Amino acid sequence: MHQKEVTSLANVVEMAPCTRVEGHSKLVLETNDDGIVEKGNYFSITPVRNFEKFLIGKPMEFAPLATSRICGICPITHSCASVEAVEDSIGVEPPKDGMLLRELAAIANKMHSHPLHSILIFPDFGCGIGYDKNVYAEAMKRCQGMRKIAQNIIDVVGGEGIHAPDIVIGGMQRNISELARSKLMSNLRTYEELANAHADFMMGLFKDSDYPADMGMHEYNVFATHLTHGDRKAFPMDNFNEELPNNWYSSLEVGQEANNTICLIGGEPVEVGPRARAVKFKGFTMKGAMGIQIARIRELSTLHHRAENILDELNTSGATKVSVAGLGDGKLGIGINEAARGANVHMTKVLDGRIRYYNCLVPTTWNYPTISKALEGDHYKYAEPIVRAYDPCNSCATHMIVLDPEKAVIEDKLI
Amino acid sequence: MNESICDAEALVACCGNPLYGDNGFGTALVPVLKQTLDGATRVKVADIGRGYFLFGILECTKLVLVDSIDFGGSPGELKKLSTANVDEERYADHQCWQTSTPLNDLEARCDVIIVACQPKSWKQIEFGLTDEVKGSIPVATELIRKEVEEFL
Repeated sequence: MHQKEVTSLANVVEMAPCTRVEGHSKLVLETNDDGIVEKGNYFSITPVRNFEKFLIGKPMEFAPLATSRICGICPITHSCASVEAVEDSIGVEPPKDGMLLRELAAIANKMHSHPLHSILIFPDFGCGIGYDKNVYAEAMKRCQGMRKIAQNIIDVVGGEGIHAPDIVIGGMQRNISELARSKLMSNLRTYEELANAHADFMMGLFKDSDYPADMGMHEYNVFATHLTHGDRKAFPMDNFNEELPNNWYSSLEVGQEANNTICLIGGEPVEVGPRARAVKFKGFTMKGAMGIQIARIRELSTLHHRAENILDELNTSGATKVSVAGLGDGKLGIGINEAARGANVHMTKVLDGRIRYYNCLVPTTWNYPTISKALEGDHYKYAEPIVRAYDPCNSCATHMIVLDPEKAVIEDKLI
Repeated sequence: MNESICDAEALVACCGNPLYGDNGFGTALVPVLKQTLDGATRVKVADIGRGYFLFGILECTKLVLVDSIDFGGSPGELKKLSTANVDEERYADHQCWQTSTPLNDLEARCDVIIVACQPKSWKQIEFGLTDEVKGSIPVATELIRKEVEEFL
């Protein structure tokens, strides 16, 4: 087992690796004598994974298959963003029923991921060792019940529950039957009952917690493209940039250890995720770590209602896929899927059916600098709960390589 | 084929990553098994990747885990293992339970067997199986079909 290290030296508190997060990450916090964080650094120490590089030269159909392996919790969002980036590059538009099914699969991914996130943060609110065993067990069962229904939706709609083979370039491989639709609708009603009970339970935990109400605040903007799916037209292509961590973190030492890039819009970090979507599309006003927790729980209702609407709207006899005639002329294509943790942006250039360029701007990449700032002003003891409230994923966001001005790779050790 | 991994009476859960050479043995078996078991309504074949966090929501009575495992055999050799053969520290890390924990919990309510194939190479990033491992697919398919025969 890895041993977690918490060290404090000359008002610098380091925590590595952070616990109850996915992948490996580190906190380096410069504090005052009272332990209040004055400069926050939150970054990935997961080894670089190289997806953007090994995809180059591969057939375009390989991109969604490979990128679904970026994350075992949210493979569907990567499949969706990937096929939509390829479709944009080669000029293909899936039929309406194909897009409805794809959105349903991606929604189900969030419907499974949010309860899993709740399980992750239960102990932050005292719900773990020492808590009422029966109440804790019931809460766990509800979460697992919700995840089971959501996984079942992905199974039926995507062909499989994890690496869904039916999410393909041009749409979805097949439609669902009328019987499957009525079964899914019935399951969604069960999900609604579980989600309502879960929301009441979580709101009670939040209410009873002694965290400061203003914990984890920041003043940056939010970035969200769609309430439930994703919209490439909302991506600020001319106004975003991706920087090396060396240039952004408070010390070169931290920047060199970080394996994530820094994504900015208008030169500033942004927050992505459930609170960002709620602020942008639902007029939500709460801020900080607790604002995110509440937005995530409220989003469950938005998701299952939209899933029901999709099933109502779906024509189960309709075409779900168009043939992929174009092989691409190297145009930049963008695919965006609003994942559980926020906007998941894939970009690609396809030429003659092969990937010539690939880039992933995944939710946690957007959130690293925002979380770093949100840690400032709070005691360092709140740092990990703040991280887990915002975005406890790291593996997806580990995509940094270092190039010299001639674009030659100069830090092989990171690849 | 059953529509859901959660509802199937027998689940053939193929583990592995096709981006890691012979580690993709389970993934490569998925289309073959789906064809072989086509029409079986009580069985589900799934590419689960690492996927062990799903074990807690399964309700099957039989779980056949298919994976590429170094058990000291010759490349492509197949071996039936039990959960007792799973190293307690397998995949143990600071943020989650190790693989053996949910497997042991599952075994209390389900018959679990592991069909392992000895890999020759599993470099990152390497595409495709070695000839030895690829050659074991027909035998593995028949072995797995027999394991779920009572559900066909």
